[in-house]
Amino acid sequence: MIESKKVEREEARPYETYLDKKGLMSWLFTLDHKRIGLMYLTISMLFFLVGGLFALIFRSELMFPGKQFLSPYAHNVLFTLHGAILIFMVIIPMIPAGFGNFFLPIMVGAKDVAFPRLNLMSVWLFAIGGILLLLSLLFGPIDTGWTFYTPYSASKGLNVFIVSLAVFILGMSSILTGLNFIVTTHKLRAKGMTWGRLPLFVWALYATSLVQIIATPVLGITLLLLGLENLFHIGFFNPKLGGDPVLFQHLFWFYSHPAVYLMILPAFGVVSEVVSIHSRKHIFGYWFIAASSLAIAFIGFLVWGHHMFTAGMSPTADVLFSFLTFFVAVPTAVKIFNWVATMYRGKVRFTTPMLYIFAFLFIFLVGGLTGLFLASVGTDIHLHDTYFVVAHFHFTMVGAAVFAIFAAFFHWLPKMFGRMYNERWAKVGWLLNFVGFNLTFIPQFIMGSMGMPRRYWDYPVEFWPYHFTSTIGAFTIATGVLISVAVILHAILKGKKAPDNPWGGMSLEWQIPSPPPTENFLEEPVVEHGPYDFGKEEGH
Amino acid sequence: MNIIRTVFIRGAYLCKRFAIRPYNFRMLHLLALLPERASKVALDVDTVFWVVFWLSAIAFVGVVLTMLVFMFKYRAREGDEEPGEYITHNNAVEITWTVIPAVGLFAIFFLSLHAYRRLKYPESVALTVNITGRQWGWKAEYPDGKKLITGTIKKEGPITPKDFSPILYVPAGEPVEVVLTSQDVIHSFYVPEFRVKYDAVPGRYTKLWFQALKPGKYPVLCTEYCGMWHSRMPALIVALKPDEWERFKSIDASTFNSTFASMPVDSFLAVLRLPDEEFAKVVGAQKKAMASMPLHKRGELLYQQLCSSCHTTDGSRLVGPSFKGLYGKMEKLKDGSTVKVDENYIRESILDPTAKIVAGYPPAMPPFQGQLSEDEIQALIAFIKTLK
Repeated sequence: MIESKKVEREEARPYETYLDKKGLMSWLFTLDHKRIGLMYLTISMLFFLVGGLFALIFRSELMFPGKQFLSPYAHNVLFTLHGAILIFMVIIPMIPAGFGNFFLPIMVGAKDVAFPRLNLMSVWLFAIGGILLLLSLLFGPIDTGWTFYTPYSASKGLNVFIVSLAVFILGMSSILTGLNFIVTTHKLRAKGMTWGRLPLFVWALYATSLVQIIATPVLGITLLLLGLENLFHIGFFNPKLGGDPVLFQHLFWFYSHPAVYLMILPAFGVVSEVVSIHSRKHIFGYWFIAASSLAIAFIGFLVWGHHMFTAGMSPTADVLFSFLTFFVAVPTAVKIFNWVATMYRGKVRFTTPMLYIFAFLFIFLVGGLTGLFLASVGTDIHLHDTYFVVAHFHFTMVGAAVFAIFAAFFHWLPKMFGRMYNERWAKVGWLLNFVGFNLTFIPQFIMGSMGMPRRYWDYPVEFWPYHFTSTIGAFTIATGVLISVAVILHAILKGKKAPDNPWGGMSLEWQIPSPPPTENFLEEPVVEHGPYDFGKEEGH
Repeated sequence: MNIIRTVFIRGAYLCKRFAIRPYNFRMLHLLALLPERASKVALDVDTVFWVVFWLSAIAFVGVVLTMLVFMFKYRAREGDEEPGEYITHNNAVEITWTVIPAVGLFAIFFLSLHAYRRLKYPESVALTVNITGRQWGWKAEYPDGKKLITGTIKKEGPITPKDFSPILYVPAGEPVEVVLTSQDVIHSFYVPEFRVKYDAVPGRYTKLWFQALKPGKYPVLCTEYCGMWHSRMPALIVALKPDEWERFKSIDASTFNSTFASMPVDSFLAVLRLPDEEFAKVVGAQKKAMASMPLHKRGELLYQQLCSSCHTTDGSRLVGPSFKGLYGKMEKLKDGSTVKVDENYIRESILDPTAKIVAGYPPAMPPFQGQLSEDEIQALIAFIKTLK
């Protein structure tokens, strides 16, 4: 029985796929960008579930006022790890290092990334960083918040040192990936792959990589200083040793604000791909979308101060950062308009990836527009460090980035594994995620503007109904995520065989067989049309 | 099933216990969205808030409606394999929808500057108070020496504003300036009803100001994560009527600090509202009681104000060593030497704590040099001596 199935498979695929080699070593020491991408996705997915579990635990604690079952310390540790894990292990790497590794070389028409060994090293560093992050739990969990604000974090000794070392290593891995992508995009494009024919996903990854290699070293340096301060009591940030705690915030946000664009730009890339292919229509305003990615990457470097409107900067700095923050909203708005316009006179299909994009646009709009309340320095003073901010960045980071991750999964799953997922259950998962998400975070907007501070183990009783609703929503998301993950696993293991190009895409990854051959292309690709030339007739 | 039952029972209990009913529930003031507008700048802030809110709402509804219309109008019918129309771009449209949001955004920016200026610069200042944050509470000091100190609420049950202690008594209708700093980590002083917030940063001063519109009690919450009990260091600002404020000012600092400062808000307000003669009598009696109070009793009051967040009296460990059995003990110091805890050692440790640090403890205590009178130091020593 098994034998005959194997034969059937081999008949169906008269070439060697990247999945054919077996054994653990063939994965751990692979130089194949597709396998490395899959390893990234697997690690990130595991951490995604762990980080989500932490959120469920502390949301259960917050379901009622007063102490339920967690001590304040345990609660603080959990929200710290929730943030650190989901940001550094999931949202930052998942699309660029996971899907990007898998698809960027194929999309530009290359056999692999420019530096395959560097690529392997970066996934190794990524795994080591992740393990170290978890090991820190054994050395003494940290409760500093993922922002490590000094001087609170400056006198914790070894614990903070280990976590900052972990994040330092993760940053290193991120820099190497960015470097690899930039060189690949410049040097390894196939014949006929002009800059104007690059899929917008590649443009988004290119902009992301620029941010990665410019901003991440600053985070590395900052955390190194923090580590040194903790181990050797050198006064960089602790005022008792002559340091300046606000300096830490400047350095930290100089990385961490661009980092939010690290998280969202790749998601924008996914949206551009999915919206065009599933509407079967040319993307509207290709150059405007590509240029707005670069504009966001650039302006993103100039707005970090808006995290510090209440920290005691000079009024001039406050006003300037507020102004620049409004400026970054413009290219973002342009992108949204272009995506909506892409559907105009298209043939929109209600597939699961497309449903995730609808949810993305809906949620990202809310996330972006509520950003205006925080960008305007007058209202930010009131809303700063309340649940309004928590809801705002979950709308942009989870509602948008994580929904784009799911869109990417369902969009590219048939290509990655040659298997189709169960459309009905995938849609059930989508509905639960979308409803649960709004149920969780809309009450947080309301309680935030009513004055509920963030990072609270307990709250005055008047905020109870919002917290209660929010927790119910969190469990709804958890159900949706578990169903979606089950659908993905089921598709990989037992899914029906998928055609090579189920959505009728025109970019290079849809022109090769599924799952992709080891060297991506069976014959050297020559690109003769753009990635979105749907309905283009001769002579256009 | 058990979990659902527990959730249901807990919910019903809370509704009953805290009289949460639909009509007195802040949640159902959904359209209000913001807390009560209790300070002069709140209206400026709220105006920006609502302008941004409605502009955003229009943009949101517009984009989502367009998206829904496109989705359904241009959906692929069953079996339709044809691609959509070949439209790639339209520069006029692109420029329009780049310029219009840009103009709108800059309008919001300029509007918000007005609110920011009002938040930042008071027209005049009637009173300046210094407030210092610590893990986990606040300390306020008036120019005349009155001091208020709030602590950590460590109970496990739910808390309401009734559990909060007062950190400031201010005159309603007068601009009050607060100079903030912190003695340990960063805290943030947030009064939702006043729409003001500023970080209390160790090693530097930040300022905020507010002008309460009417008498009342307004919660202060910490909004910069500061460790274990971050959520449990709330306090109250009490805005007083003009005559109450006059009464408040008339109480001398040492009487206030030793008695009224630690009184619950409502009892103290009742004192302020007494008829003239009775008020004078109560204050006089407190002053007398203060003067005739045994030294160690006065020390105990000081201990509760100044030392209790880091030193216990029951032998357990907080930030610093416990005071229980401290007097007369031989303490091992960080440099390996030993010292006998006597009056002079305690005095030195209060005024210059880092001079001799007990082994195993961080050099975390701020020096009290110049902050305590000789009288107060003696009172503290007398109190420590009683803790056998």
